[in-house]
Amino acid sequence: MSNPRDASRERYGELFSLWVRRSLDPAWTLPLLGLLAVLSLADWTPTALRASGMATPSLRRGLEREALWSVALLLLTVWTAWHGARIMWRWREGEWSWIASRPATAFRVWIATWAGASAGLGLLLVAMAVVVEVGTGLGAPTVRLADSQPVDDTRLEPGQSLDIPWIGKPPMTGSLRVFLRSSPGGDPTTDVLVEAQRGELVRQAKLRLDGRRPVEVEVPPDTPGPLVVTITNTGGGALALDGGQPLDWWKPAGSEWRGSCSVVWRALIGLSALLGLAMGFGGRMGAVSAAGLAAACLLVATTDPVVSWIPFADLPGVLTILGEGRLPMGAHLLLPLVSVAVAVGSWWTAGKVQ
Amino acid sequence: MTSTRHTTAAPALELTGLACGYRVGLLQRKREVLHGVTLSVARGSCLGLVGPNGSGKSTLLRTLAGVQRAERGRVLVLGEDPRQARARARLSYLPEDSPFPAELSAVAALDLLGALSGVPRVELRQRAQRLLKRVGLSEQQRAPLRTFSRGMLRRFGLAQAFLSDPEVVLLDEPTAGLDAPGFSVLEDLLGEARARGACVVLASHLPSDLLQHCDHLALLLGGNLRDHGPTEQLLAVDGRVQLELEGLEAAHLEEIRAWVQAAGGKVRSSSPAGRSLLELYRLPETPDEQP
Repeated sequence: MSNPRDASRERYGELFSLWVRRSLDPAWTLPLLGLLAVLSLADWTPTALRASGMATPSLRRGLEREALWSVALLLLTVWTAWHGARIMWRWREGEWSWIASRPATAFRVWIATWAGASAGLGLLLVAMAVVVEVGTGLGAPTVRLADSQPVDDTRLEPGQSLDIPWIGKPPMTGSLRVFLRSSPGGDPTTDVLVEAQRGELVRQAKLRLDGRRPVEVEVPPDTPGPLVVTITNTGGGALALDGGQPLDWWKPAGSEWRGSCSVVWRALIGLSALLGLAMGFGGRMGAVSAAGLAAACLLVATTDPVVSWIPFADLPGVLTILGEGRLPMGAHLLLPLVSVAVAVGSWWTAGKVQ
Repeated sequence: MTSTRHTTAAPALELTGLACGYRVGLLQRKREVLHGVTLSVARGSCLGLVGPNGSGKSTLLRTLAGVQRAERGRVLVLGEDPRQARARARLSYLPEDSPFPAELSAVAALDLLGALSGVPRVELRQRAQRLLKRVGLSEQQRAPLRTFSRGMLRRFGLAQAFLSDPEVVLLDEPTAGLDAPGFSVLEDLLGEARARGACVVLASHLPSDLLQHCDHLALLLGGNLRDHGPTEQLLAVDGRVQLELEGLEAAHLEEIRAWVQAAGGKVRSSSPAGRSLLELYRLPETPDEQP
């Protein structure tokens, strides 16, 4: 007697494969990959940065990676919304007649279709990652964002200092980064001393600040005691701690190409959710309206990067980190579940497809 | 609407006060197409659905196939609601258009449709090969469906409809676009299905389809079942007979015409019956081979 799960896989497997194939339509995927390959030949480092001599090879690769992924994801997002909405259009235009007259469960057909189309998008993202990494040249070992701690906007007058105790799991290796700016309105230049102290051990970074920039200080080696970051304004002008950016802990991680893996995973989850949403709307309205509405929902999601369990919400931030030649934090564990929940919920949004 | 049972056996299809239609627009407004159709079709019989365009033939077939939901009334296919997968496992449906996945080859598309029907994979490949050969598509089995002509797609549609040995076969315009050998294939497939006791419902505009295959007809007008019954009874005109004679000379025809007139009748039309298209297609290629 056959296993019901095997029978189900046999029944819906072919439908899944069909949608994998449709997501990989060469008429769309080949031009997209070709465009990425051509764009990877360009130099994406801004002229001013090149002239300043601060454009390290890692930064140049990061900027190229950020640019290529931004273009690719923009195009892929628009296409995914359209692709999802067109699934329901295809169903209405006749495909539903051969699907619904079979002894298949409509909800499983929906899930097999969504999963197949999502898997196809996943394969396309992997192919895009290969093109991006071949174009940028994979890269060298870099650091990964391990943890972040929010900080408040604080103004430090000359001679003043600010202690920021690290809350949570204490960093053992790597570095801490904080964003500072010399305060406008007064002397545009000031000196700053940033210290990271744990027990008796102190690591420090001194620099002259002119405008806004990140300041990084090494984490003291593993010793008992809490870790405190102290910022002291040692210059003559005012200093401000930028609360718009958190205090970040960066630790050594793998090679830069892992950044593309991180984008692929987040984009896959985000695009799957978008696909489900567009399918749901597509059951109620025309393909163009459904694609537009789904894309509008996506825009809303990306405007609040704080809620990292919303698909796509942290992708702009991840691309910015990639642009620095660094690696982002791992994706929120709830993201895949949210994506599945969106797809399942869209089944009810779609309503009666006739 | 009254119901007429064609045989005393348990019916294969039972419609009671069926009303259904479509929802249109963003607000999903209802547009009713069928208004209270009551009908019953016996197992082993072949029902032809007739009616002008827009009379609800395709909607009725879609509802029987479980593709479309009934707004009111009851639909039973082999005693079960066709919206239930168990009922749909016993029926097959050929849609009016051929909306099969155009990017797949004929054999891959049958794999997909057969898998959704629950035909075991091992059995499926054998059945698909056999049916593709039967409908004359074995040479094109690896070609994508988008390269098929309308008639070839119709043949493919017939192959998918008979893939799972259904007990109820629902065919919407099965001969649209079919060539003469295709008609012959359809005739064979329908004959076999009926021989094993399957119930067939077909919608068509071609009188030849209906006369040749259907033992019962149902006339739909404006979404209402206007009439239904045995084909001969529904189409019969008192005193009118159609004869097809063979082996006569022109003089004999004149004698028959005179005899009919003498008996008080009238020959409404007579013309030499030519070869059928099927006979023409089967002619030997060289004149020497002709009989």
